[in-house]
Amino acid sequence: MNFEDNKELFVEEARELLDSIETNLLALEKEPSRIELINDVFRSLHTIKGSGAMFGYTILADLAHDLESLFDDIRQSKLTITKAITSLALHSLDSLSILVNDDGAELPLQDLRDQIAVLRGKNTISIKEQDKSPISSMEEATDGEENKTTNVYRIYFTPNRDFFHRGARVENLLQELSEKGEIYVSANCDGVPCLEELEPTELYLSWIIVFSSTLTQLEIRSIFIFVEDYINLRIEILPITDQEGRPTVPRIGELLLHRGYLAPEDIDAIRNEQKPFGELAIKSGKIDQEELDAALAEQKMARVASMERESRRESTSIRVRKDKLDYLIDTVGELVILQARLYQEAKKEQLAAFESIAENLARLTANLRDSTMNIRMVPLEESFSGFHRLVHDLGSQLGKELTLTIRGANTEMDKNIIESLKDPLMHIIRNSADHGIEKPEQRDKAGKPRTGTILVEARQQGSKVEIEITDDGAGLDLEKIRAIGIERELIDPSVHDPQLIKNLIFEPGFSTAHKTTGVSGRGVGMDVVRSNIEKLRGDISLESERGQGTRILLSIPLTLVIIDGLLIRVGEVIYVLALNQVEECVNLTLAGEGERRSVISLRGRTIPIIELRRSFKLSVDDRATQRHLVIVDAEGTTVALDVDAVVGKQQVVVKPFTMNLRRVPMVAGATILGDGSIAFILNIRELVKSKRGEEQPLTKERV
Amino acid sequence: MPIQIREKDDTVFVKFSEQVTIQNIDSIAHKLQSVLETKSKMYVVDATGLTKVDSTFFQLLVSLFYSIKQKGHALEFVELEANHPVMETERLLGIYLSKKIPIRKEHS
Repeated sequence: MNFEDNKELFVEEARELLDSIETNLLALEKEPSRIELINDVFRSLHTIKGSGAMFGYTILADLAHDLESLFDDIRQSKLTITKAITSLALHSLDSLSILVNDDGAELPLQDLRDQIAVLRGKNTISIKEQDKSPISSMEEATDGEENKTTNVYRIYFTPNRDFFHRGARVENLLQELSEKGEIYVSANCDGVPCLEELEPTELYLSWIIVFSSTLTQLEIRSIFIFVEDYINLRIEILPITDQEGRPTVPRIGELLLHRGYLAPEDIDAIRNEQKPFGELAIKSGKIDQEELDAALAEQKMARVASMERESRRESTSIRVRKDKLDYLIDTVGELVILQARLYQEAKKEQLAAFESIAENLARLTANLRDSTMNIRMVPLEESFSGFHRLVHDLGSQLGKELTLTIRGANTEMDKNIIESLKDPLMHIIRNSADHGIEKPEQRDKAGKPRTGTILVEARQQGSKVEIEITDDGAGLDLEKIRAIGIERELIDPSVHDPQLIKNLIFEPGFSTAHKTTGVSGRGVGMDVVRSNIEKLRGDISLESERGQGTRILLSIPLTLVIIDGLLIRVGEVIYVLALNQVEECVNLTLAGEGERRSVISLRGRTIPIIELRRSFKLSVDDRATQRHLVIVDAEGTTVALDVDAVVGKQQVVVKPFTMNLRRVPMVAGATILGDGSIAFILNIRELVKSKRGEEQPLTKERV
Repeated sequence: MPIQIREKDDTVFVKFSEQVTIQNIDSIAHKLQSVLETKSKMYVVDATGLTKVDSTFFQLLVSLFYSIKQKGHALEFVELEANHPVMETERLLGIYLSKKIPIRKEHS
């Protein structure tokens, strides 16, 4: 690898480190005493400074050096974190981000450096400080702490009933622990008696504390040293690596078992069902949400510590350029196609040895395909990490108090999809902050907390990932939307269906904002969001309640490259349907020649039929009495596709289209079949939409 | 007194204010016992006026909740802001009352 390659890697790593510093600074604004975050910021700045100087980014290295010194002062308790410090650090970070891309960028850096010096109590930067070259100061920052390993402990803390009588306070102990690492506390209230039997000055509670810290067991015990005679204390270290030192994260079932919330037989019974374990455990009534949350928090801490330890291990991971990875995936795609073709030929020739080789090759190809696809799966947190800063800045810009909560950031998706999701998600969050969440005084009047909350939650659902963005703002004003829709002739005045009215916000250029703000209101947003999500073969839906807030649900496939398909024939042409949208296949026998059906009744459901021959402008054989129907679902609507034949299931590699073909709405992509022929992948959503369009005209024009 | 109890329309409102800690928990618990003698089936606890609490307060509330539940009656807890001292102590102690007791959105 040459110097330029290494420089590219530095740029990539610096961007990641800057993202991580930003996240930590925003967290420090809320919890200024979290020493592990301060150390993390310090270490990241140290790395940026050292590597930057090595690759000739001298201006960047100088600014990083000043910031590093500031955080060194904080580490040594010479300074404490204040709003002024985090604010200045965030501004400096913006400059560092620009400098990573262009070290010669003209920025008011001297001003920033002077402000840092003032905060450090040095009105002018001393000559000695200025002369210190970033490279020469690389060694000075290393101390023992950097080599300390983070462990995750489970602490069982059971005070005696007379604990309070000894003058001891639980709060002080927990506070001290929380200052020395990340902590999740769950109290056990089972021992608390009814009011008639309660001795209020006796202590009936006990605790399980999950504690992620660089402290040793002995150091933890020393925190409890003054109360050790009045308590029962047990400390366990959670295994976060396996015997060979590879990272491992305990399963939820194991954690619930260890905590004593579940018995081994409960675990087996719950495991038999194919759903998230925690969800099932709650459903079974054996545990409650609080117990699950505690176990999830424990799992998260174990995962973070495990990842941290992993990152310290040498030579366990390498960085690969994205284009190289894309090429690998394309090649594997070709291999999958070729293997399918070989398999077909082998079946045709009926040569036993040939068939056996083809079957083995099929198995190996499947393994290779899965492993290759897995390489490109990355956690969503990469995309989510910038949202805290976004919400922080939007709050200041709009004069609103905003909190962003992110859940499920470790859910994995194809990296390419994650990149395409960032802009739509930012649009949605901006809209929530600007149009959804009210000003603090309005929230006061409405009896809501002054701080508005935006929740972004991701979870895997089969072969899809669902991302839910919820706000507790004012919700959509349907009357206003309807009026604008009528005014702009997007709907007929007779339309009152709330769902149709809500969906108007996805129309191009639609906006209810009186004036354009710097944040939103230009009407470019939700239509772009919808088209971006649809390009990813995803769905978007919206629910809103006036005064309560809005919830937007995105449902996106995990990957776009290889899909399970159902091959169908219409006329002489084979088409592919995405199998995850197919419910079932049904054979329909008509009473006689010439009979046409527009709906089918299936187990109490009336399902409209789309005759694909008519959709594709092919001649229809009215004499046929046997029809093949494929029941599909898209955007919550079920339709039956009338096809000439169902050919079978096959995994297909989605091939990109040229610009011209992208305009054909009913076709989502193409693939090469085992026999080398090309098949189009049908866009089920568009087919359903066209059917819906026939039945429910929205606008005057469409009528 | 940092506890006020009033009964209206078959509902008992228990309003806490100032501080409820180990220093005064005995007298508060004693006063609170009287609510169990009422005929009301609905209880609302309002802690919005509190400025400081400790683990004894939460223990008392859990105990009240158990007693009311045992009688087959209902208890609701008036919603608090995330940065309210009670919520901060709740998080520190890991006693998530809001997950046990239904939350009432408006003030009593």
